[in-house]
Amino acid sequence: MTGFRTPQGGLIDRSKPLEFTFDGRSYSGFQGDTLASALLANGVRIMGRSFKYHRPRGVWGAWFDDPNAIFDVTLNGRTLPNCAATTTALIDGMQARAVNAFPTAKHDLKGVLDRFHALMPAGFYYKTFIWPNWHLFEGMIRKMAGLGRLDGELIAGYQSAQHHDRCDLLVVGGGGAGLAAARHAAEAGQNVLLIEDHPALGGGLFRRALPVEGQSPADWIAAQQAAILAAGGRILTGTTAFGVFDHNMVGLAQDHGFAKAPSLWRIRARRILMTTGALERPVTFANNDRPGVMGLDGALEYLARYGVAAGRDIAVLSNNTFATAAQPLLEQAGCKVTLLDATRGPAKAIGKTLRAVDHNGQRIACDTLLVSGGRTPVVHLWRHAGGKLDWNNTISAFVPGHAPDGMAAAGAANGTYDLDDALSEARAVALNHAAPPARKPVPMPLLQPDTNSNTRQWIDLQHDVTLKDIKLAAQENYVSVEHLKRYTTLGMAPDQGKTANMAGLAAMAQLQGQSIPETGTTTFRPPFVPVPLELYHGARRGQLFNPLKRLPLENRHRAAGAALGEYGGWLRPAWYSDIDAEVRMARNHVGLLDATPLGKIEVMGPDAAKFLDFVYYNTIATLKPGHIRYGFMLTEGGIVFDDGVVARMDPNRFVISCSSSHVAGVTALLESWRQDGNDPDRVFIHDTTANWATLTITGPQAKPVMQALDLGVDLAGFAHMTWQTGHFHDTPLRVARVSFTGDTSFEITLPSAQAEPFWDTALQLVQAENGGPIGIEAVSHMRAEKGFIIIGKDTDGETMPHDLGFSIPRRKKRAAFVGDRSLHSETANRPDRRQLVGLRSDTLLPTGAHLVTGKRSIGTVTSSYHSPTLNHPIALALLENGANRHGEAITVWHMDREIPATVTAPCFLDPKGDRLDA
Amino acid sequence: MAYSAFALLRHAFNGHNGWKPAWRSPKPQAEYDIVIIGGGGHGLATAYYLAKNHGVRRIAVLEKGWLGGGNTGRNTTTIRSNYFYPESAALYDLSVRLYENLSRELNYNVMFSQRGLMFLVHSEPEMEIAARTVNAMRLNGVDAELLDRDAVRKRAPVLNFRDDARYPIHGGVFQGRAGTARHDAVAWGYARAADRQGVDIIQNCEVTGLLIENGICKGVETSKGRIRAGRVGGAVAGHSSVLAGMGGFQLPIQSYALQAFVSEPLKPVIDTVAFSPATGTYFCQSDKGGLVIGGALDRVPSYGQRGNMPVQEQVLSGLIEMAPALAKVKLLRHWAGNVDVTPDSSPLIGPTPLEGLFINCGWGTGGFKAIPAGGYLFAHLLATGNHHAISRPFDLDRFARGALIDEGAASGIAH
Amino acid sequence: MRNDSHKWDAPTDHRLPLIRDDLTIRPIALHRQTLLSGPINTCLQLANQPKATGWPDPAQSTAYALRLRRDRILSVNGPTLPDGWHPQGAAISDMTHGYACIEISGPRALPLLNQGTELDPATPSNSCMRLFHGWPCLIYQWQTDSFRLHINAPHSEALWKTLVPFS
Repeated sequence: MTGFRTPQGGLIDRSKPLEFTFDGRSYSGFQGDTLASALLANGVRIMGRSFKYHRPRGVWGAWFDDPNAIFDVTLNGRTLPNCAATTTALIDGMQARAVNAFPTAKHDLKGVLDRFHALMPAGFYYKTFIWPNWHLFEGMIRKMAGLGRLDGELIAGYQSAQHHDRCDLLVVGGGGAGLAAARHAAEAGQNVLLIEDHPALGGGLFRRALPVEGQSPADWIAAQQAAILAAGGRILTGTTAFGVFDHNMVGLAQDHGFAKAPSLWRIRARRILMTTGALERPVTFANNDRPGVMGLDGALEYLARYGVAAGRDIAVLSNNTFATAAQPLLEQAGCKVTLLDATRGPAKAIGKTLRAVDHNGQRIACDTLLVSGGRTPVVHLWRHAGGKLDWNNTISAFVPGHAPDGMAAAGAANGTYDLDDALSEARAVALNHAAPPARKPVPMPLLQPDTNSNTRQWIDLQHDVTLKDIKLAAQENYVSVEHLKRYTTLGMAPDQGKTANMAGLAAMAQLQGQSIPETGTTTFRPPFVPVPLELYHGARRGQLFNPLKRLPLENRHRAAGAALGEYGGWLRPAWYSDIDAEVRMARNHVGLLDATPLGKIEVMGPDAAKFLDFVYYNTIATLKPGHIRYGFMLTEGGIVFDDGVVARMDPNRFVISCSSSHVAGVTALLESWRQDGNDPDRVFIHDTTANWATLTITGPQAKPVMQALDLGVDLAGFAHMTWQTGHFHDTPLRVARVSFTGDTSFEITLPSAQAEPFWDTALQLVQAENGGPIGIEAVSHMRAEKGFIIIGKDTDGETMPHDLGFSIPRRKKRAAFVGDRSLHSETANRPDRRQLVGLRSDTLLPTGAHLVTGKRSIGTVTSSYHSPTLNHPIALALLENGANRHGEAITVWHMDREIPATVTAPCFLDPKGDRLDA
Repeated sequence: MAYSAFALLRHAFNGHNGWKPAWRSPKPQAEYDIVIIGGGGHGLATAYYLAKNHGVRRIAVLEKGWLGGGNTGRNTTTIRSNYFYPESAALYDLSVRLYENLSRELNYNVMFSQRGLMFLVHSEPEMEIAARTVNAMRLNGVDAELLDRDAVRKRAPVLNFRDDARYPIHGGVFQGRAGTARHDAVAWGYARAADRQGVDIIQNCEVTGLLIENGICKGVETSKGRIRAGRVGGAVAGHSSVLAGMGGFQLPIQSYALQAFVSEPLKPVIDTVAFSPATGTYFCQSDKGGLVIGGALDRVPSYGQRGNMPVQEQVLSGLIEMAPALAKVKLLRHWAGNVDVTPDSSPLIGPTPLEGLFINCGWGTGGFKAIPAGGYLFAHLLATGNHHAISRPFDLDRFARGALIDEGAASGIAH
Repeated sequence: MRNDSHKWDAPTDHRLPLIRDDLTIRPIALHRQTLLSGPINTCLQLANQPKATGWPDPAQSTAYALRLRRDRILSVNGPTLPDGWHPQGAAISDMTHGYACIEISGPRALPLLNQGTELDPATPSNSCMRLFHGWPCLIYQWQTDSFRLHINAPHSEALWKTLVPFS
């Protein structure tokens, strides 16, 4: 006989029947059922197959502690793999399939594997598959391993909301202890948040089925709930605390139903009260994995919550008085009950379809065997927070010991099993008072497994680990708890050993002749139960995943038809029409570039000059107000970190225009050095980049455009590498004469609010000179024609300034500066250092190609373009001793192909710089 | 007592009662030729190669906890040699070659799966950097391919090929000989093989100080007493600074937490290892079915290797961007290890300022792939007192010489 | 090179306020924002403010100062000051266009903010700098039931996009 639905009882709504399928067959259940309870009510026994041996398995527990009933579930075209049948609420139309079984759990083709179990003890795969090699076997093993199947489909709208919140007291677990504690604390004026992972509050009170402080469980629970809410407390059901993190931060996952992503709550709690209860502990005996063998608590849950009796002819094997209390409840449901004392010797389940149990020399007929080997307090959160555990001999369990800061435990989670004791304890602890001593401890003697028997006794149901495996591990000296776990895989399955760890410890302790605390305990890690990866997703999705910085002129660029791309963290125009055409236009006439991302870092203060002299390779202190200097910032290792121009505004003010992709890094580096060895009141760093727009007008016709713009600058006396103030209408602005293109170039910097009107005016004037807007790609081509480097592209993790031809400060600068000593190391002095060169070739060289001698790499091609100005390919490269090799033939190597090239100076166009002043 | 399918069959008949311990639990002797501090992968491999390649007779490995219980048991199990500099290529590819034969050599299945490893490429500039790396690898004699988008899709269809991908996949740098192995098996395999060679592996033995006589390290003080040694080698990863302190010198290493994650077990989802430089996240699938996920360092110190949510969110949101179909997969467990990072992200192998004490550390996030090479080279150093050619560039003196091997910078990821 | 124009929504030129029964989100045009660094009293004096707002004390009037760090404030609608080094010993930079300001008000305002960061009136802070959904932001209480965020202008598009669907 199997499970059946009782005529009355349970928290289900019998007026709402639901239809579903399991392994292709149709069944009915009720609103409030889980998949497991509905199947059990339909008399389904075999709900899955074990991981390794594919043995038929029934459901063992009623909540997250069940190791066996795991399904892939589909509803309305959405499929979730690896759903626990015991925690998946039944919804009309659900289709469930047992994982790791084909074609069904009841008739699994791989069930035949169990006959060969002797060949597959723990760790057998370490002893074999060695020859010829692992790859021959891996594919087959991988297909047999794994449980659920991922369908690769995205579920629309599957997004986790995330919230932060705080409370004075977070009560984890809404059973008797949790409800009492939450009410007491809320009524004392604390800001209380109570969470409970079931849809309904009450915990173990339903299955206990006795009055609570004179009321029925339902009435008592309702009264506590009302009182908590009336006192301003909050309650979240369907919510699991999955981890405790630093400084009393607790992560909660709030369920929103099937195929809807749970919400993440990050709760900062002044105190955390763990009233998480205790799990039923299995008993280790022969054939204890048979369908029909269930935990006693689980069976009582099915009865109380779902109105399902697990079987008709029930034997109860236990070591504690909860069994005696359970007997009348089961009998009331119409079951025949026989109690067996588990301390009186080993048991053995008889029959593939359970029909009896042998115990103490007797054979007792039964169709269902409910076991209770004691309780295991749920202490995971305690351990997440670094709390210690003590061994309690009376109840043979690990209980919370020395508390982590701001954490406490009460009730069954604290090893206090009697309800009255638990309620008193919870109320005291809620207010941070000492708990009264327990008046009614519930003794639970430690059950020793029969390690001499030759039978198969399961320790970890989910990973098919048996007592023989533990023996084997002990025999082979994998005796530490961590070795035991990893060698046998005990406790490493999705249930993370919730019902297996204690059995494994007890077995190993016995084999080693030690006590359990001497044997040890394993580490518990978050999450407490598996949670979807989506829970951690946050707002980082799509355009909000590392969102790009946006230009004030973006809409102008879009209107002009620009192709936009990601450059240095910004969305910038790559080109407007055609890159080559833009280069030619800018070289022959004039181009307008949006250079807004160029960094504008202000360094101010009486020590600013001294500071910059220290942070820069070049001498900055001698820079006069109104002038601009190109320079390098080095790392302490002497490596070029950034290049850029420094403009001096006045004796106490400099503006650094560093490469646009590096602004944050340069600011951080400057700030870091500012705080190291300087008087911090005499130099300050402000990153003002976001306040300004910068537009560059470049080309032989740049001056006529500037004339027409009439910004109030002295164009005739405007020397290269200087700056002046000016204005556009009423807006003050700065104009700098710097050139990244090699042509006459003016960089206009003005408040970003004026960017659009300025652009409109400037563009008209530029177009009047046969010019137009140019994008980043055109500029990259032009700067390469001049041999101007891009940091990180034409330099690498070894490039020092003298490799780029800038060697004077290294030889002559007296003031101390960052990287100085490293510039004189053995490596810095090597004659074969990689130096910047140009390359000429017939065909376009691939960037990333290497320069070789034989098969040895002596350099890399760092930039390579077809030059529209010169009409031939040009390239920049870093080459060993390159500065001394101009004119040499060289071999370029790319993906096994050799290409001839010639080494040149890096500048291909106008080496004298005449074009700067066209 | 050799392992083999035949032996498995034979032992099956007598209930597996005949299997011998994988290693002994000996008491420490008063003196050894060489004492290795640290019973992780590197320490155990060193002991093995000392006995096997150099015929050293009296060797002890001292482990303060249980062997293999440190970073060797906590990593994400990837093995690769796709490095830029010839020195690194020589080092890590030596390791790959040793891994290729390791199961047979140790007579222990370490499950080295050469399923390949892909660094995804997300834009044209990144393709240029990729070409630079692929060329470097090929010139260094290491297998490397530049894959286009279709080739990546064929190998790993679960990745994000959607139009709205934040980081579209242009292609990938693929090393076919790279892959994964079972981390515990590597430790246990080396332990068992070393034990068979007569190495004493002493667990639960903490080194509390160094025995220094006339400025020379002559052994160690431990929780199980004093042990003298001809030479002492430290392979203690995140505890290297503590060891250096005992020896009166400093090492240029910083310790950080590195988090790792595993999902619930699934039928095969991905057959290779995929890494996205854009998100900093990488993942593969263990032979048991769980997705193994890793990411960037956690630079904020935390109590007890717990790791905190901001890094978890960074790594896992990166994973979902790489493969959106994984959003509904459940996370099973996450943990952290302590990794020791040097200024150039390359390891430290060599003598220390204290004569008689040698060090193997600074592997940062990449120690597991290097276990065989680290052991092989450290054994050479301890046995002969001199560097093997492959380990010479990684000596502590490279910092003063300016001869850094900066693979972090070489990877081309913008700083 | 790839053309990514279609991957990024065009910026909303005029961001209309979003108004619901329990939540209003609107952009605020501030007349002036000035960054001042230096000894805190010098900065406050130059900004003509008695104190600088952190968390949770609200900023009240049209002109106020925000505390960013030990030695840095943002003066909002304060006196005009020249950029550069002030002889009284402070560094000054105009940032009127550098920060975009968004005001969020209504009973759902604080919970909305708590989706992006941990913001609890019972936990005070001297500085109003926060990471909001991972981005650096200034967040402070404005008068009685509103909050204001200042974000680096180039990131304001992303911030707006984040707030709107959550509302």
